[in-house]
Amino acid sequence: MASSAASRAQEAAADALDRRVRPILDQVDLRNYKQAVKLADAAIKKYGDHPLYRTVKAMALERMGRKQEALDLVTDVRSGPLNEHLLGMMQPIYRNLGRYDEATKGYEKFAAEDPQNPERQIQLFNAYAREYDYLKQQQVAMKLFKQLGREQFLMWAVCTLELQALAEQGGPTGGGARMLQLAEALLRKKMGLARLEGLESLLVFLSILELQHKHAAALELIQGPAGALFTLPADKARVEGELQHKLGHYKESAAAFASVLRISPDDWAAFQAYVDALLEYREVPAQTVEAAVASDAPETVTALEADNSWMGPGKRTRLSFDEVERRLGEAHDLVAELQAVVVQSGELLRGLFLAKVELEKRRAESGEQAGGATQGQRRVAEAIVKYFDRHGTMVSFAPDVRQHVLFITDPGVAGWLAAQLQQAAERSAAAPDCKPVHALRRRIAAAQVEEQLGLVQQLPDAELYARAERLAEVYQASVPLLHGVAPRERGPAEELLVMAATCLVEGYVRTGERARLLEAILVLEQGLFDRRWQSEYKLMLVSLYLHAGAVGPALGWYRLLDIKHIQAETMAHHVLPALLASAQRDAAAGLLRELAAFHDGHLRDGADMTLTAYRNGTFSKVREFVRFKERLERSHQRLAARTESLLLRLAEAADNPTEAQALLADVGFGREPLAWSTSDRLAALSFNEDLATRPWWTPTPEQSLLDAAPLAGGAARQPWHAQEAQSARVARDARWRRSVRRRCLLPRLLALTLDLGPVSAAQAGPPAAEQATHSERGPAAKASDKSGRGKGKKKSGNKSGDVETAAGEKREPAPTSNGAAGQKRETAPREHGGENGCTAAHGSPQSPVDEMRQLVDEYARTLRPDTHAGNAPDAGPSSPGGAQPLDELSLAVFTTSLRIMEARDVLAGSGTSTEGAAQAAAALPAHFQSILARLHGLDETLAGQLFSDLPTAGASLRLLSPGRALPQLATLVHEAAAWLLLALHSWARVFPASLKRKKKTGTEDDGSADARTLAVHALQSLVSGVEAVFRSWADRLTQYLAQADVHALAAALKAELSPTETGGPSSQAGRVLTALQSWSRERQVAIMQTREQSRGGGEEENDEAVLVLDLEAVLRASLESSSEVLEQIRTASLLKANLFKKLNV
Amino acid sequence: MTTIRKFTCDDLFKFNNVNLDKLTETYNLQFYLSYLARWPEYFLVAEGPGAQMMGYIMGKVEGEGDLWHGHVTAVTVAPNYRRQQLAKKLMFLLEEITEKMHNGYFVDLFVRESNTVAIDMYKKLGYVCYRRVIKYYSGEEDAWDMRKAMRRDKEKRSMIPLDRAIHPEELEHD
Repeated sequence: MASSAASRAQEAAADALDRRVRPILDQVDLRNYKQAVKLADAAIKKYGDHPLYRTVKAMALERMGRKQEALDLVTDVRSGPLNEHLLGMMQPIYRNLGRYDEATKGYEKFAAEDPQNPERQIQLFNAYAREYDYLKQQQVAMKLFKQLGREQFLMWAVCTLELQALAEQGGPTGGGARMLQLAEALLRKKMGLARLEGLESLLVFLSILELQHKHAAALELIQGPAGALFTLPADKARVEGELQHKLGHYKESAAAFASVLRISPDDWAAFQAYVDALLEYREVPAQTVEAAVASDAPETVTALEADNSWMGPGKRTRLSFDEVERRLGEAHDLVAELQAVVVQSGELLRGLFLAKVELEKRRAESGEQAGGATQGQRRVAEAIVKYFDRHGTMVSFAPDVRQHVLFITDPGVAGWLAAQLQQAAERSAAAPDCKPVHALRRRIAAAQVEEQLGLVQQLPDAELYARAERLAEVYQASVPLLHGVAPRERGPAEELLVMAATCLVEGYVRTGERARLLEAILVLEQGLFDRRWQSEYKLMLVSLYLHAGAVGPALGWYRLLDIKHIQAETMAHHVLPALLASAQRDAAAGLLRELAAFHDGHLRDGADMTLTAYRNGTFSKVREFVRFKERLERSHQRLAARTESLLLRLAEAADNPTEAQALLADVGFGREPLAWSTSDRLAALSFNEDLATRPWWTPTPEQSLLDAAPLAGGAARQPWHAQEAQSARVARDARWRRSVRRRCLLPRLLALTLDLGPVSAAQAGPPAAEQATHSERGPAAKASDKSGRGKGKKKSGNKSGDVETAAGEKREPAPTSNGAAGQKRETAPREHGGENGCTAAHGSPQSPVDEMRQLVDEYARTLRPDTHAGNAPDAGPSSPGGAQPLDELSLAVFTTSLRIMEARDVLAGSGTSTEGAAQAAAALPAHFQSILARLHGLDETLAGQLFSDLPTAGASLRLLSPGRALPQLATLVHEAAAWLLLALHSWARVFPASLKRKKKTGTEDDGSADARTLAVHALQSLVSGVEAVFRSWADRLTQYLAQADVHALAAALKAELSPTETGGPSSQAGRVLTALQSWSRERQVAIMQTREQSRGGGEEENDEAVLVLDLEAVLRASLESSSEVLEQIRTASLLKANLFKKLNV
Repeated sequence: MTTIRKFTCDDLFKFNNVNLDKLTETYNLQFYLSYLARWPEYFLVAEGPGAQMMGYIMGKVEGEGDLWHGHVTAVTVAPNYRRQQLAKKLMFLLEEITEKMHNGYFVDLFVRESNTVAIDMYKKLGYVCYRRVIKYYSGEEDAWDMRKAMRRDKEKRSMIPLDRAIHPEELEHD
């Protein structure tokens, strides 16, 4: 009785508490954080200091950005009595603060209070999992298993052992091997006592054995009672087949895969594995290839590719040809047997028919047959023709046979195959019972294969153009077939316009004729008018518009692709580099934010998904999720996004050194970017872009044939559909790594440059200078520095990816004026000095001048890589096609900063200058002049590309393909000039003092005074020179834009695109468009009307906003980008006003 | 030549071929991962001969008593691979898993009322319109809850259409 009364009283108290806390939580949910804090304070005052009120208050404080207060408060609560409810509320606060380590302390304390309580242990396991602390997870799991004896906890321990083994440096050897042995022993012991309970446990067991290369043991395992855990027999046979192959039991392996095919006859991977086993291919040493790729060694990869034993496309078996024939005969028999069954069932399975083509290819790859390679290829071609007869109407025909078509390299065979397919298509079209859509599909498939064979690429200009026209006509004729096809469904002829545009782009690449580029754009626009969900058209247009300088429409179409979540990671490469090199900074910043949000989100919450896997017993997913998280953590895109968004913000602060310094303070004064890009981290980068979605003319973000146009004279060219060789990929990744490292050096170089304070005779030397500089820092710098320290603490408590998460968390808004920040203010400068001044990243003392020297050297090295195989000049992540001249300009700026640091004693006029300082001072005028000379050089190049033939109508076509000139100008104005301006601000602080003193004394005639005077004069002329260059850009662009008469330009272009009857290739311009009837506009009007009528049917109509249907619109879009650049130049000019005052220019 | 295998995290990096299509929604990461963590057997991907992704299906198993059933959350096929019965094949696999691994009573799915192409396809596969869910899609469009009985439901009770439309809040599951 008494106890029930007590529990009733307890319940009543809990209810009362809940009633009081509820309204405060409601305010948090409504985002009225201020109100929530107020209510929490009131509740504490009225009902006493219950930890729940304080926790809710901390929650509100965290949400409103008062992070330190929130952390202090919640940590204070943690020191008192805890319960599950309270911990559950604290956990998300710590998560949002990025402090899982602090949350863990709460769970540790709670578990220690009642060590036998399994629930508390499970919570502790979860807490360690969020920190990816595998060892501690394992200890808790073992404890739980011993206590409760459940398989689930045993598997938790096994999974965490596997994760520990994989986390070992260089893979599961050494300590890792012991972990795996232990995991295996645990599993065996369990199996000695009782059977494994679930398939997931078996999968993990197999994975543990696999990591130890114990294939025989794995086979024994699945052939034993545990094998019954596979519910689907094909799954078991697949695993068995793989293991038998690894053991060299080829016959058994083939039998296992044959049994898979009998269950699932369309399983292409099983068919491949079956033939691999029949022909006794040796297993791919995948790890060796991966290691070679990771170690940045193109030669090794090439060697591996050439190794015959390496299973892959074009590799040979070691069997004799007769034996190959015999075994392929076996395969043919199996295929025939399965075909008979399938045909009878009436199922639509194409695999068994393509299998015949594959077998011919395997036969040809095995070589040494009568007739040689040509004969082999011919038999593959014949098999393709047969496959075409049966499956040529399938939309997937061309993608299906792509690998086999690419195998055909003999020109005679290629020509034969193309002709055969064309004839077959016409023959079947002529048959009386042929459906029009089938006739169309066969024609398209034949044309696609012709393109895959590389034959279209070889056509002379006129024929290429005629082909485009013909394709457009076929498309036009197919329009009636669209009737009844839902707008979101695939139309029957969409590939035709892709192929037509391809011919036009190839024409542009060869001739540089801008009319062709324009025509390609309009053809694709026309296609989108008909089929507005077509993503391939959109991606092609994005690239073409960006090249044409029309950033607006490019971005418009990209946005309509509705790229989101993980696609930001895999697809941003289509626009991000170009946006960073355009005047569209906001759009670029937006994309970078999206990327950061995606990455930060997963790093924060990803562990919860692993916990779901532990909880649900899907143990095989634990390792997969952890690897996935690591892959995202090591993403090159993530590194680029962090670096570029920092540089973007730094560049915006070009005229505000104080702000720039605050931004730099946020990233450890530029040291964090150095840590992001150490050689270890660069080597571990994961390149996650989906390059398969790029148009053929720009297979990677750094390569574009458009930029190189015209490429006349049959320059050696890759086939359009060529697959990138591993070695090329390795070289490309190496270039990217070097280039991102260069970008990562910039913040620290800027920090050191900005740290040059004014010098005077009385206070020469770095420490004084630093103090002066730091005094300029605003509260923002201090506040973020404070959070930076907090993080430093966290780093030591975290196991993996600590420095990584550091930066993300730091991007918090500065606290509004509050006591905490104010108190720190006094001590902050000293700490900055200590941190920024004399300690290198690795902790050993290094003077700023030494560090600067080292970084400038490294920067220069990234621009001049060793010229061993594959090391072409770089292209930066932010600079399509490379930004070498701009980087050279920046190098000159930072070299000059270095010289100023070296010349410090002389500039201070201290009279105790060393010889080195004197030399550095004497060299300064030359350095200033060299910067100006570089700027003039750039001016000349860019002006030559942009303005030389202004303003005739024909020449104004240049607007439609400014190529790299406009992006370069934009990057120069926005970024390279920003570093120069920031440096000038800093240098200006060094000089006036010495200049003024010279004026005062007047009579000083020693050498150092002369050096100072000369340097000041050179600096002054640099500043006025910079100003003059900017002014002239602004003037010329203004004039250019004023004279650009869009209407007249469009008329001129139209004339150029109007087909004439006279000869010559250019007379054909416009015919493709004519074929599409886009000039008549009648059809467009009709479509518009239909769309008008269907409005409200659930389709988003705003999509039409970006449709660009005429020339004028394209022109206007291009001009807009130029105007934006002009606007930037004007802003940049205005910014310098401040600076000129400082320098008395 | 369709390889059907379990969907893995790494497939998320290369599913653009499928997801760029307007008919396929791209969800946030947690959504995919929570399916992988809970029902990995129900998340399958189909690949073509060059390892191109042809399509995928994701589903789950849920319910209590005679409502224990498989559910199709998404089934999608890339434009290049439509009209070759791939969706049908993926659906059959999901049904097989529901029967053999989970012994469920039926499989169900939701489809937009306006998506007549899909509704017709599901009917051909043996599904019936079990009930209408009012304003299921963002409060704008009705859904059909379609069902197909598995062997365990011998009398096919799960397929007897409900004689009234229901509101989303009446649904037994999310």
